[in-house]
Amino acid sequence: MPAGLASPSGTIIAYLDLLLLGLEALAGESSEAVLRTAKTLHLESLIYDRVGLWRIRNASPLRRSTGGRKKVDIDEARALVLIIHHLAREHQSQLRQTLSRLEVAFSEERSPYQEPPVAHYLEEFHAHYRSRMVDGESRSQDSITEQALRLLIELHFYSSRHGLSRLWGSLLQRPELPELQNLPPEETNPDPISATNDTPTPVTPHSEG
Amino acid sequence: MPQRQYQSTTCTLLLESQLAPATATEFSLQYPFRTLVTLAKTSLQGDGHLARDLVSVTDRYLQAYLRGEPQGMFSSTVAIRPLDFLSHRLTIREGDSIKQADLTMTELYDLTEVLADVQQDFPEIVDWTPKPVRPQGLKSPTAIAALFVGAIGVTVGVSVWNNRSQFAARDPQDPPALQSAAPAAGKQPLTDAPAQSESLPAARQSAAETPGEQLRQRLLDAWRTPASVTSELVYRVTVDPQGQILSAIPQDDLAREAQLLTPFAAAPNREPETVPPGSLVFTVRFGELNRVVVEP
Repeated sequence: MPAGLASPSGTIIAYLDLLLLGLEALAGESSEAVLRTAKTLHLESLIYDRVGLWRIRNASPLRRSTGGRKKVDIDEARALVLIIHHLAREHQSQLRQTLSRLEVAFSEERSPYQEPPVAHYLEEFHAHYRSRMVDGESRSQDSITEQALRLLIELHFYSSRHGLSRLWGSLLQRPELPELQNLPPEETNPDPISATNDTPTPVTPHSEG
Repeated sequence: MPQRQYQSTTCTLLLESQLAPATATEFSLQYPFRTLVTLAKTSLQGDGHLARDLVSVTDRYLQAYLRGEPQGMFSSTVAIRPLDFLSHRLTIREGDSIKQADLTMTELYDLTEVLADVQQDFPEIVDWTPKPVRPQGLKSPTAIAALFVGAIGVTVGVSVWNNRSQFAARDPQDPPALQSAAPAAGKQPLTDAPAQSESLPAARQSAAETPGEQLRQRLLDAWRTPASVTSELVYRVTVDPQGQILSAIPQDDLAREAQLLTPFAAAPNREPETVPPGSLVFTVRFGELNRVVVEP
């Protein structure tokens, strides 16, 4: 975690969760890939099983939640950062190819949905976002598309050899996500750190990333 | 002469020592050096300033982008700003002339990769400070560097993308692109106005009745007086009947030195070869507190 950051804010957790969502949409992987990477990076003491991972990701204030959100500590957030960078590195060529096709569509003024890899990514992202996020049903199609494409670009930059420092830097300086400002008050938990440490029972943790 | 080369998919960067003693075998920042950057569509060259400013400016630009606040970044020799959702305009001063390169997102990625490699090999490059002679009115090079934060901010979000309604469509059978969409990357004229000027609110556009007032409104959107500029910057500006800026000629050394910091960063600074009938000439003065005066 960046120096000077005592604990991860809701915005940081939400952003990390969105990056994982982007990777899932791109590569079709879920919690198994994250757990495998955690083991590869010797982070299994922090992220050890699907339920544990589900609890961490559910700390995002953007997530639908039926109970209190888990308190995420600094080491867990740091582990997510390392895992995201590792996964982005693994999928670097796919990120590059998808972004390149997006650029082709843009330069030819065609819909990105006419480019199969981009269309697949967007459709997966929409499905994940609508089913998991608190504003998933109310947020406009264009707004989710915008979010998905931004994440695709950012993941590409994080997939580089210099991506880890770039991700650190963006977390340290990131302003509050605009999505968090628009959430209904009863659904919003802007500070998951201080939230109750209740452990919600995941309904289908195996389907979560 | 010793040299060091960096390469990525669409970008090659060469640093080559000059005036190094014959005994020098490895490139270092100890001696003057030239910089050659070969991009997908063009190449750029300069001295050590170019490498130093490319490293600093693009790094700050990328940081701003990745924290979700894309905005233009400038130095005395390098400027970069977003053109639209997926492209960026890099402007370089090469001697007395200005050169531009429009970069796609993947090309920007490739450029930032080689520049990050350079910074990794030579962390001191961001402090590499030759001693240029600066006209009175501009503070030290350090003050110029401080302009990064206060530089002209141009935020081009995906609203540009969303305005291109074809991208919001999910159905591949949807009608083709609207002709009124924003210009594609690389298709904007060299002398384009700052990006935000394309999205001036209609009410403001209609309120700007005269060509001079229209020009002033566009410039007001883009001009933020840098802290290091303490004197008025004056340019003679030729604008064609469609409002395109054909040239912006600095009226003194100070204005020439600071042109990259103004909305005229990308405008030719010499008389246009051809001037369409109906073109107008204005004197533009940039002052303190974001003041813009357009005469007559």
